[in-house]
Amino acid sequence: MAEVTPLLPTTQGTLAVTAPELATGGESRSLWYYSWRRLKRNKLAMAGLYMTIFIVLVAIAADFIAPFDPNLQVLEYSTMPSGFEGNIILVKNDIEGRDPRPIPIQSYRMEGDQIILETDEGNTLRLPLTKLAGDSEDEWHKQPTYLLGTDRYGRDVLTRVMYGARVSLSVAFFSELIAIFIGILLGALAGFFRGWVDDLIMWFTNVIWSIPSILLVIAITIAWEPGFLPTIVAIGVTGWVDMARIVRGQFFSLREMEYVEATRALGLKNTRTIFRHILPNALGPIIVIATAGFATAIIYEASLSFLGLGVQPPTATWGQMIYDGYGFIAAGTNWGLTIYPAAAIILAVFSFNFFGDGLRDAFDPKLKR
Amino acid sequence: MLAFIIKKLLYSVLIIFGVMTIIFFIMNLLPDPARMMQGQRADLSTQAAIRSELGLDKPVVARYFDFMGNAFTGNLGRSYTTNLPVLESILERFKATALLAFSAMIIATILGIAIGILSAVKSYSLIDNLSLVFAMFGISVPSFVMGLLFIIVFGSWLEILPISGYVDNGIEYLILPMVTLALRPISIIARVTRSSMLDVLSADYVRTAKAKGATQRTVIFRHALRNALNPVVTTVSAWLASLLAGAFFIEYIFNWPGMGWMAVEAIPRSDFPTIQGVVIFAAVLFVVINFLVDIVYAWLDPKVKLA
Amino acid sequence: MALLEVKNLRTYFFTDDGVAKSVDDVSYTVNRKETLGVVGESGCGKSVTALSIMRLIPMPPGRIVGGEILFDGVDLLKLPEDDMRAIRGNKIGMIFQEPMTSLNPVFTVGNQIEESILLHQKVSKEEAKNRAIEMLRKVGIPAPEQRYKEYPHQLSGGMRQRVMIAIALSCNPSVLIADEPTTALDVTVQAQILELINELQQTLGMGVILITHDLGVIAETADRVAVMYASHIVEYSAVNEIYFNPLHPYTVGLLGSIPKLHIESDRLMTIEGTVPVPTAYPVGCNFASRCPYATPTCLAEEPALKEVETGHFVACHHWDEVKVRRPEHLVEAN
Repeated sequence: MAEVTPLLPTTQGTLAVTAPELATGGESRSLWYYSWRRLKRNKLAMAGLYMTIFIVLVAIAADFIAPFDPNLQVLEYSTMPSGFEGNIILVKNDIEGRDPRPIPIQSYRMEGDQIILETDEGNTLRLPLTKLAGDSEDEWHKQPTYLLGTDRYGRDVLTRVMYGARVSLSVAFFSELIAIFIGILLGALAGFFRGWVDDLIMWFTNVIWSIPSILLVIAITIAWEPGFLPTIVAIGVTGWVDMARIVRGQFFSLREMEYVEATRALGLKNTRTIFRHILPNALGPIIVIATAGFATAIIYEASLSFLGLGVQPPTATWGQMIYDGYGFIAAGTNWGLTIYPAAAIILAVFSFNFFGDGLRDAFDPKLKR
Repeated sequence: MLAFIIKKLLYSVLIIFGVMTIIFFIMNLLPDPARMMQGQRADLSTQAAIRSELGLDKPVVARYFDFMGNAFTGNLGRSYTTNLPVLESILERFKATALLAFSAMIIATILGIAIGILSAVKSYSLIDNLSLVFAMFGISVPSFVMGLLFIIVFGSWLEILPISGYVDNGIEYLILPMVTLALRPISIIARVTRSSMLDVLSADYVRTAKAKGATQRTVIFRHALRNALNPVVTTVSAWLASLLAGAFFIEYIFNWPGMGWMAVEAIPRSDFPTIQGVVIFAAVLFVVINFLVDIVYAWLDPKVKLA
Repeated sequence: MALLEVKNLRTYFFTDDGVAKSVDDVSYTVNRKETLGVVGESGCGKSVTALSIMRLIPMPPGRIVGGEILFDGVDLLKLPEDDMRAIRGNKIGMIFQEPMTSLNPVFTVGNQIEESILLHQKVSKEEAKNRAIEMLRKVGIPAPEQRYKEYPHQLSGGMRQRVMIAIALSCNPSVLIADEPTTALDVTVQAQILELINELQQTLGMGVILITHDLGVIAETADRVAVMYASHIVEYSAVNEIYFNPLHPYTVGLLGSIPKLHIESDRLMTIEGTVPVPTAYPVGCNFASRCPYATPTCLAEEPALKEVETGHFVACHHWDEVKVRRPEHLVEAN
C-alpha cells in the first residue's frame, strides 16, 4: 500500500534524509501529466482511445462519408448480399421537393429526348430526359456498390451503421451528462453535509439501485413515449448511482484532508470549498465512472431500440437494425443484417471500455507495480 | 445480532417503499389505460366503467394509497391481456428464470474465480492479457447481441445446439441461454477476483507464508484466496440477485418462458400491470437477497461492525 | 567457513522508468552466534538484499542478475525452487517490519506457527501443536494455550511480533533475518523484542541479520555493521569501529543526525541534498553530490569497497581525509 514517506525522523535517532522517491530532481508535475504518461504506455487503452475517436468522427461526418442517404429505399434491392452492385437511374419525384426516386435497371439507352430503361423486372420504360434528376449522366445514373449489402427495404447497411453511430453516441453523451450532473450533485451533497442529508440521499440511491436499471429505463420510455429525448432522459436519470456513490466516497475521504480543513479555517463558503477544492481532486474517479457509464448507455440505447422503444424508425439505430436482422436468423439467411450492426455496437463499447480501463489504471496506479 | 437484523430489515422495507413509490409515479405518467385497452373505438361509458374498475377515477393520492396497500398485500393487479393476477403469473414463470439464473451463476462463479486467480498469479503475462480481452468482451457485448451471435454460430452455422425453447424439451435447451447469461458475470467476477487477489498477493502475510517455505499452491489457495474472497462474494451475490430479477433479453431471444420473457412480451401489448408487476417483483427480490447477504456476512465475519 | 556469505549480489528491478539497480555489488558475511547489523535509510537496498537471500524478490519486475549467496557452502541462487522452499522458514527464518499485517487475519496464531512446523518436519498434528505452544512460551507470550487459539486481531503489535518470531524460529533456523523488526513498535516494546532476539540467539546459536535504519538499535545488538547507501555497502566493520572511527562521510553524517542528550546543540546535523534515484545513479560515487569531501575524482570514478584498516572496509576515495577532518566531538561523544 502506498504510504507517505516521512520526511522527518520517524523514531528516535533515525535519519533526517529525504526518501529517494521524492528526489526526482525537484521538479513536480501534475497528476494529469503522470496519468497521461501512464495511459500512453498502455497499448490496449490507446487502441481503445483511437477507435473511440474514429467512431466519433464517423458519427459526426456521416453526412459526408456515408455512400448513401440512410433512408433511401430501393425496394427492388431488398436484402442484397455484401458487395452487391446496383444500377440505378434517378428520376425526379412526382411530389415537388422530395428526394429523387431511384429506378433499378438492367440497362438503358437514349433515343432523342427520351431514355429507354430495361428495368429489373424485365419491363421497358420510356421517360423524357426532363424527368431525370440532374443534367449530366453522372448525376442521374449511379452504379453504387453496397459494401455490406442492403436491408429489407433496400437501404444500404453500411450507411445505416454509420448513421447508427450518431444516435448511439449522442444518446450516450447526453444521457451521461444527465447522469454525471445528478450523480455529482447528490454525491457531493451527501458527502459534504452528511447526517440526515446523507441518509436521505443514500436511501434514494439504494432505491434506484434496487430496481433493475434496464427495467426502469423501459418503464420510463413506455410511460412517456418512445423517442430520442425519452431515451436520453430515461438512461440519464437511472444511470447516476455509481457516480453518486463514488463522489460521496471521495468527499468522505477528501473532506478529512488538511487542505480542506484549511479552507474551512479560512472561512470559505461551502460551495466554494466544494467546487474549488474538493471536486477537482475527485476528478480522476469521476472520469473513470463516467467512461464506464458511457459504455453502459450505449448498451442501453441499443437494447431499447432493439425492443422498439428507442429512437423511432426510419432513423437508423443499431438496436433497431439488429431487431430487423433477427427476423432473418430463423430463416437462416442474411446474417449480415444482424452481424454488422452487432459488430458496430461491440466495437464501440469495447473501445470505450478499454479506454476507460486504461484510465482507471492511469489514475490509480496502485495495481500497476 | 438481532438488533442488527431488525435494523437491516427495517431499512429493506424502507427501500421497497421507495421502489413502489417511484414505480407508481412513473406508471402514473402513462396515457390513459382505459383508452389503450379498448382502442379508439371504445365508447365513453365502457371507458368510464374500466376507469372505475381500475380506480382511475379517484384522485392521485387515493390511488397511491390503494396501490401501496394492494402491493404490500401481494395484489399487483391483473394482466390486461390474460386477465390473470400478475403475481400468480410471475410466480409461475419464476421457476424458469431461477433455473437459468442459478445455473448461469454456478458456471460464472467457478470460471470467473478460476480465470481471476490465474490472471492474478500470472499477472501481466500473455494469459493475463488474454483474460483481460475476454473479460472486456464479456462486459462490452450487450446480452441480446451475444445471444443472437450464439444463435447464428451454434444454431444456424454449426447446427449443434437448439436455439429456442425450454428444458421441457431436453437439457440441451439450457446450454445456449445459460452460457450467454453467464458471460457477463464470468467477466466481472474474473476481474474482481484478479484485482482482489493482486492486492492480497502483495500483502505482508502472503510474504510471511512464502518466507515459511509454503508451496505456491498453499500460498495461493490457503493464504491468499480466503482473504481475497470478500469482494468476490459481494459480486457473486449482486449478480445472482440481478439475474434472478430476470434476464429479459436472453429469455426473449431464446424463447425461455421466464419472468423476463413475460415482461418483454408485455411491452408491445401495452400490458402495463404485467410490466409494473415484474419491476416490483424484481426490485423486491433484489432487496431481499441483499438483505440475506448482509445477514450472512455479519454472521460469518465477527469483525464486520454490527452498525 | 562463514555460515552465510553474500558475494557481489546484484538485484535489479526492470520498471517502466528504467532499470533500478536496487542492490549493486553487495557482499557481506554472517557467522554463527553473530549479529550483523545492516543500516541505511529506506530505499537503500538493505531489505532487497535480505529478500534476495530468501529468494522472495517479486519477479517480474525484479531479478537477481548476479552474485552468489552461499549458505553452508551451497549457492542458494542455483538451487531448484523446491530445495529453496525447504530452506525458507526451516534453515533461514525471517521476520518483517509490520507485525500488524504480517500475520494472516483468517487463521489462528497457533495455526500459523503449526503450519511452519508441519511444512518442514515430519511430526503429527498433536506434536506440532505442542511445539507451537512451546514456541509461544519461548517468545514470552503469557498464557500460550489461550493465545494459541486466538486470531491476530486480538493481539497487540508487540505480541504479534513475538508470534512472528515464534514462526520464524519454530524450526530452529541457523540464520534469522530480522527486517526492521522493531520499527513499527513502541519504544518500550522495541527493547523487549531486541532483548528477546538476543536471548534466543544465544540459546539457539543462530546467525542474525538485523536490518534497521536506527543506529541506536545497531549499537545495542550488532557485532558487525554494514552501512548501505544507494544500493552499495559504503562501510563495513566491527560495531565499535563504526561508532568511534567512521571512515565514510555518509556514516559520519548518520552519526551526526542522532540527537544526543549530553551535547548542547542548536540543531541536528543533516545531510544536505537527496539520494539519487536507483534508475539513474551517477557515474562516480553515489554519495558525491551530497558529500563535503567530494572532488572531481569522486564524480568520475566509483570507489570500490576496500579494507583500509584491519577488518574495516570503506568505499571512499578520501577516507583518510575523513578520518582527519571529521568533527571529533561527534565521534568521541559516542
